[in-house]
Amino acid sequence: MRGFRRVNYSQESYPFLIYKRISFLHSLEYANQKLEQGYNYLVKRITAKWDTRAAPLAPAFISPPLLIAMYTGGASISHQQLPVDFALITSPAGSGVFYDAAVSSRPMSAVARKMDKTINIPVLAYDVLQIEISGATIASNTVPELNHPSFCDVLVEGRYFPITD
Amino acid sequence: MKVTLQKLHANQMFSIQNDQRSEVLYMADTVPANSSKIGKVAVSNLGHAYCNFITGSFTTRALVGGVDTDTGIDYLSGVLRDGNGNRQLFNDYVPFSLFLTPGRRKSLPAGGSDSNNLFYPIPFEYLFTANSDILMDVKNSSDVAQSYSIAFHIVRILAVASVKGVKR
Repeated sequence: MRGFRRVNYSQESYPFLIYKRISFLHSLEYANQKLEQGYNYLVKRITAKWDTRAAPLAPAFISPPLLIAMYTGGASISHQQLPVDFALITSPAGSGVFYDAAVSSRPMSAVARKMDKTINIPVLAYDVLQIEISGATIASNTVPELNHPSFCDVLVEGRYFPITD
Repeated sequence: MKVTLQKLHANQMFSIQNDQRSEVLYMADTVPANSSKIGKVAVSNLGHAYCNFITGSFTTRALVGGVDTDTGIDYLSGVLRDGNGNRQLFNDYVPFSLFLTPGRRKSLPAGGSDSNNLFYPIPFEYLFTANSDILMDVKNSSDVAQSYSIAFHIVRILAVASVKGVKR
């Protein structure tokens, strides 16, 4: 026997969008996506939205920073040395975003300016893609303008590539 | 292209255009209130469709105090599926405002601010098979019906039967 060869029988790559709504119960939160077996996943771009009103239903908007880091596989290998401010790599971030508190599913606004930051973030992942969001301050903060909302929406745009030896 | 530096060779271009050309596949539907519906567009038997970009728009209406109002809130979310083999191309129902551009369109004169969206078609490179359907399973969480329209910007790779007899 000459060795072990791993082959993906579908032999094709295809785009795949990953959507997560991440609740901020703590200042450090995670979202995990189990990736398809036999494929690597290349992250190309992230779009994220969260409500940044100073207080619910208030007209004033603020932009407290949220930090993101991505990890992959079982070894928790980081793709950057420090978590990065979300607003520096993705859009619309918190710019002009608000949600409908009257609806239980809390849908987000569609009116926020979108896609004005298009920085590609080539991140190669396999097995599990883990998104870590930190920096959220929750309701215990005595200065309400510095509080983050209770959740954020994240869309990861990427592509599956079959693993071939 | 630089018109004064690059020459267009019509015969070569027609030869290629007889085999493949740009096209747009259009899907539009109305989803009832608090409901879901599968929209679809047929790729047709003309040939395979290589998608480059996706663009789309949608309404954002709801009842506010019993009055049909344009709130600017995104109530639609969807999952894209390749009808050939029913492959799911999103992991979950993705809110339309996260991936469609220009995105929200105003549908009523009163209420709701301007969209303030930049037009940035989302790249989505995928080959859809001839004679299959492109499916968008859409959920509407509003108490009013919502409309949406999506355009798939494709390159049609014409089937042999479609170009048989065409002079090259």
